Amino acid sequence: MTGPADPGGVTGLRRFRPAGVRDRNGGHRSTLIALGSTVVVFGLLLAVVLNSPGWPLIQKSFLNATYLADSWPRQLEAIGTNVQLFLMAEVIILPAALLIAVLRSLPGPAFFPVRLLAVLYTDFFRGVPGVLVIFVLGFGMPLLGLPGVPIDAFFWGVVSLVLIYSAYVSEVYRAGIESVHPSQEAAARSLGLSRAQALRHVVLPQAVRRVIPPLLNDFIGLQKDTALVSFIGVAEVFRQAQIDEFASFNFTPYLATAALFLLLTVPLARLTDWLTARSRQRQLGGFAR
Amino acid sequence: MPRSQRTLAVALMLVLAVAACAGATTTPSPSVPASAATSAPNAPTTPPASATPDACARANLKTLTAGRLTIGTDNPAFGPWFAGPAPAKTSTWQYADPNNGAGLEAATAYAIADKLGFARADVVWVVVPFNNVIQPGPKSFDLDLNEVSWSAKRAEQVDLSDGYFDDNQAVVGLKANGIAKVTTVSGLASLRLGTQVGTTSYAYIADNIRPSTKPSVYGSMDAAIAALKAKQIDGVVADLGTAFFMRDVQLSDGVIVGRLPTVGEQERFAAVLNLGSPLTPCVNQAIAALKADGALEQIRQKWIVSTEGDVPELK
Repeated sequence: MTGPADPGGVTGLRRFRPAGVRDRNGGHRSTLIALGSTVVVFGLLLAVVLNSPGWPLIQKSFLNATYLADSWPRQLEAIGTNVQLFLMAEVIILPAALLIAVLRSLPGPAFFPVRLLAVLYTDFFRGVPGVLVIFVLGFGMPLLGLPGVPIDAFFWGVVSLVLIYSAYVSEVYRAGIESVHPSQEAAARSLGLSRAQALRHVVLPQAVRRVIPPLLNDFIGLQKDTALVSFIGVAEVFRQAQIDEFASFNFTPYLATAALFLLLTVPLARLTDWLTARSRQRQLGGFAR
Repeated sequence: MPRSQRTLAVALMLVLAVAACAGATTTPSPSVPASAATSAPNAPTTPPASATPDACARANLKTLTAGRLTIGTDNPAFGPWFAGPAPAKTSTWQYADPNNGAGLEAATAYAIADKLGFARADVVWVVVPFNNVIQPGPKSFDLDLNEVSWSAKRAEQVDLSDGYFDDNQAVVGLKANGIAKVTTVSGLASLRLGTQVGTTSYAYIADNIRPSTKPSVYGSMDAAIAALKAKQIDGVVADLGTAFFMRDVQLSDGVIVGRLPTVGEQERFAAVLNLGSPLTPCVNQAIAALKADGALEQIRQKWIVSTEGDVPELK
């Protein structure tokens, strides 16, 4: 990689180039090309947007600093509810979904009813729109009037999110488990490990490591779907933005909500990228590229 | 030197972005772009409406469709704003069809149309979800009657006509609950209240009742009613007309605890028009005429007082 110039011509801005390795001839030029094309592309995009006839209207309705400053503190408070919702849910989802995935992978005819239940569960909660689950549980369960059944909307919000996302996440785990070659388990069994021990010490560690990126996908999805819990009256950030929007007929508060969600999800995505890259490097013994 | 070049690239893009923003603030705004969009391509080629009384003559009115007055409201349209026999199953309208002119808003709409010179047959009703009424940009209606309360902030985004109905907020609860015995506004402060997002009812709770428990805010009044039934809240705050509907239709054991006293400006329903619509002064003229000749009060007596009865005001 140290010799010839990269024909792709974007090496100057390439992200994963190892330190100390650079193109002797093409580096300078390709950087300039990348820079130039970026300026042209973004410049054109901005020019089109800024010169569109409705731009002043957009600016007034969506990018209004006054309304942003007004809404921001309330939203900052409200997003605390979202954080509580997804943290509580995720803590339950991760082990619950793993259990469902393991149950679904149990071999043998005796476990058929267990596998069937696991399949029915995932099919149902992946297939039904989340809002419906939240509505039915949030407004329906308290109507039962059973002693000991909570009526709190927040509680049913967490329960709904756990039910919905455990279905998705269990499928992610299952994909991970099935991606581990059967010879791994066979080898473990031949060393005298029981089926459970093989699962615990050989299969699952490999399976879980492989599915960390899709697990993060679902975690981010969960974070955003906390907004659905507003349907049953939980005071979370999207509802707060809506309250502020309706009070002013200005849409800028939604922009603040978008920014808050990005502040939550983007650092998490970068952290996971980094963790994944590090674990791959360790697995490959430093020869990773 | 890739690192320094990358820094350079980032710096350049920042400069570009700042320049773009600066350009944005100096871009001259076209004069009321929204109003231009309301004139349909087949509108009659009349000179633009001026401040002369003639501007409100029917021939000079620039409506969405020439010769027709398009009026919006949400579906389901319900009483006492829209009444009459249940529409056919095939109808777009669920509880009531605005086309029969029954109910306070339907009657008011036809009265306004009449003052503007439109015959009953020239009035076209369109379904406009409540949320879309307030969206910026071109509208699918000439005017919209949807129990929209007048507010100064709203008036910055859309045109709001003068009021055609004076409204009060009211509290709905279940007969069996403690809230049914409340007679004062301060008596509500210790209770769990809920309402629909974006309503003046929410503003009333937040500004005037100031409950010790944060009010629960729902996407619709129906959800608030569901929460009331689930005992997640003690009372729903809504305007009086909606409160009648909740008590009479949505709840089997509901009660209107009372009307809430007006604080500050009298709450009133206003017709919504596109921002800067040339129709707005004409609609206001029509409403003023309807007030002067007592027609609005007649409509109120017929569709509110005589059908819904009286409700005590909370102290």
